[in-house]
Amino acid sequence: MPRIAIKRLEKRYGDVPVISGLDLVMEDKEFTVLVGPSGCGKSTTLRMIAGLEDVSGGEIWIGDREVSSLEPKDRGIAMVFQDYALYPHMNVAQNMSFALRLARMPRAEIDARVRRVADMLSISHLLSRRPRELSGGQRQRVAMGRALVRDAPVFLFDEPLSNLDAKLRTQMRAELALMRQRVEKNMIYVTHDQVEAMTLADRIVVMNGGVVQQQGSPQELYEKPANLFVAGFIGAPAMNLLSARLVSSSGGPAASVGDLVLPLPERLQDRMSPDSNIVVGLRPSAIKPAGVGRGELPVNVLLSEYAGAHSLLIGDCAGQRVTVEVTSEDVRRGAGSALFSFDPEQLHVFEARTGDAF
Amino acid sequence: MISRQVLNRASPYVFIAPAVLITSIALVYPVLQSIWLSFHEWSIGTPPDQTRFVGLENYRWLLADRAFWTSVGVTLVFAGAVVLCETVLGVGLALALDRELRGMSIIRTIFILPMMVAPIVVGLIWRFLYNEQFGPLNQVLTGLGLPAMSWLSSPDLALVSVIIADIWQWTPFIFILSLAALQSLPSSAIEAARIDGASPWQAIVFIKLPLMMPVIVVAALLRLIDAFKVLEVIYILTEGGPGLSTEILSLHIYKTAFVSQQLGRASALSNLLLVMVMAITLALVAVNHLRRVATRRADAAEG
Ligand SMILES: Nc1ncnc2c1ncn2[C@@H]1O[C@H](COP(=O)(O)OP(=O)(O)OP(=O)(O)O)[C@@H](O)[C@H]1O
Ligand SMILES: [Mg+2]
Repeated sequence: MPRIAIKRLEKRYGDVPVISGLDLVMEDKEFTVLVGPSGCGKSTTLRMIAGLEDVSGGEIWIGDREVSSLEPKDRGIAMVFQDYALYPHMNVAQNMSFALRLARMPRAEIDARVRRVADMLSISHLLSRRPRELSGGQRQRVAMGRALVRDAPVFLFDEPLSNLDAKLRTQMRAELALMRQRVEKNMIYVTHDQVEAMTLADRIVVMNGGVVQQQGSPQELYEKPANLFVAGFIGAPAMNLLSARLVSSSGGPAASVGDLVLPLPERLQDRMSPDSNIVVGLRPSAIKPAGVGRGELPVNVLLSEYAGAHSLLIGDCAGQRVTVEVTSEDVRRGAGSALFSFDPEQLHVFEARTGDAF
Repeated sequence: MISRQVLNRASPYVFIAPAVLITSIALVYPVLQSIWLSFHEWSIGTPPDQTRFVGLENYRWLLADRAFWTSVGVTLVFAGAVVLCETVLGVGLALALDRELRGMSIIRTIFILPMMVAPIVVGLIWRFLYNEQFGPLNQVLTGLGLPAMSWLSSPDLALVSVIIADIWQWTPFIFILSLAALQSLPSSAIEAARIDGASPWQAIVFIKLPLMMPVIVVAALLRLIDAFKVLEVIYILTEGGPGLSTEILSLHIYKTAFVSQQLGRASALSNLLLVMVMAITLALVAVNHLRRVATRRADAAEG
């Protein structure tokens, strides 16, 4: 099973650069998720790996072969498309066996493989149906099945769940995660949904404007975002980002937000020049009722969104919008009405000019 | 008070009524008239009250007429050949030109031009091209040291020449319809086929052609129906000659009506042509339908 390496990959449409100098390594059997906002070049990258799009520069290595000039069929990949791309004139069994029939595999083995994969995806009863006679979720499974029977070493997914309704999406996401445990392959998965990215990935690659912003495990990205973009993109509800100035106080480094002074993590001591503009990030879930953490955060709560076990409080802190995630239990007890607290160690600090994390 | 439901149910009929009315006047009346006329003997120039009822005599005469059967043969060969060639060429061209290259839209437009030329003009163009002494075709042939051909005056070659002219004019029809069908195919299905390992040929045979088939069938059917009715081009090129070698049925009808001036027989001929076209059309539609039912059955059997 191969490792995929992308080196200085570029893509231009005419004079418009879409991907510029992309470097990525995807280890064997890793589930890599490319995530980023719409139009950032995720699909383009995936399609270049698949061979559906020519590269304008750079190299793509699958195993020990440079594949960027090979036909898709010679790259050893299977792909699931966003719109499923089933063959409308073939039934489910024919859709799934198309690649195997082209490869002139013996009939018996084709049947066995199709049956096994269909069982695994619970679509055995649909084998004789045409795509148009299937529901969205069923089509999705068939598309997955068509990729799985190939037993190709590399799997590519382009937003396979985005056409499903919210409930089905959650369900299929769980099934994908299950399937991924059973099928040990190199998988590259494109999505703009950071929840999908967090739940499925071994490694997340956050892209923006055709450039990799950060890559790492979901935990790394959540806990140590490398810059403002990643900080705002990963995690739901999104991290609170407050513009501030760096000041020195008696108790160590601190940030002034309006007339508020927030203590900063000790580890940042000496690493910053005083009086510079910074952005302070604090996850909604890291804000606790008053008295729990060392730092104090007064929030003028404007709105409370009840979401079952948790509630989101949306309010105003020194003139900037802040979201707080607390348990509904706390809300009922009246905790967290005006004064909240936080642990300074959980603050993220970014340089305002470059957006990079300190 | 008419209930709302009755109104709702009646509304489709109200909407199609004008179309039905116009169709029946413009289409059904002439057909009925032609059927009525085919049971009578009537010459051009004689007053209508001198028409004489002759029963099936016109049909009996026709079916015994060698010229009629020759004409039927010529028509079938002509229609079969042009539809086959035009479909193969038109679909082939569409498959070949369906790519985004610079200047492709100009090339496509040029390919469509012949269809826009009036049939009379097409006849004149090809009569010039086929001219034995001054025609460019023969000049090229003799220039290459080959013998000149008697394109329109040899009984063997004339039908081929006429077929070539029709192919030239009507291949674009199949071409543009196929191209439109091709460009509306789901591009991701074709990409999926590439990933599944299909060569460009296999993608055409297993994905593109099957998906285009409904359009191709309809286009070919329209051409077939039209091919039974061509008149102008052949009239100008050969007038049906030499002998009867290019006298297709519509020309035979024209000659019977306006040269021999036998309107009854001409009507009987038209009706036979109508029956033929209808029979062939229905047969093709039925075959297509049966094919679909058969694949459906096969699907069901497999599951
Ligand atoms: N054929 C094309 N010609 C010109 N520009 C293109 C073409 N295809 C894509 N682009 C541009 O390339 C950029 C990246 O497109 P891409 O499809 O990779 O985005 P994406 O990250 O997949 O977005 P989404 O999440 O909306 O699918 C976009 O700005 C798009 O406008
Ligand atoms: Mg995309």
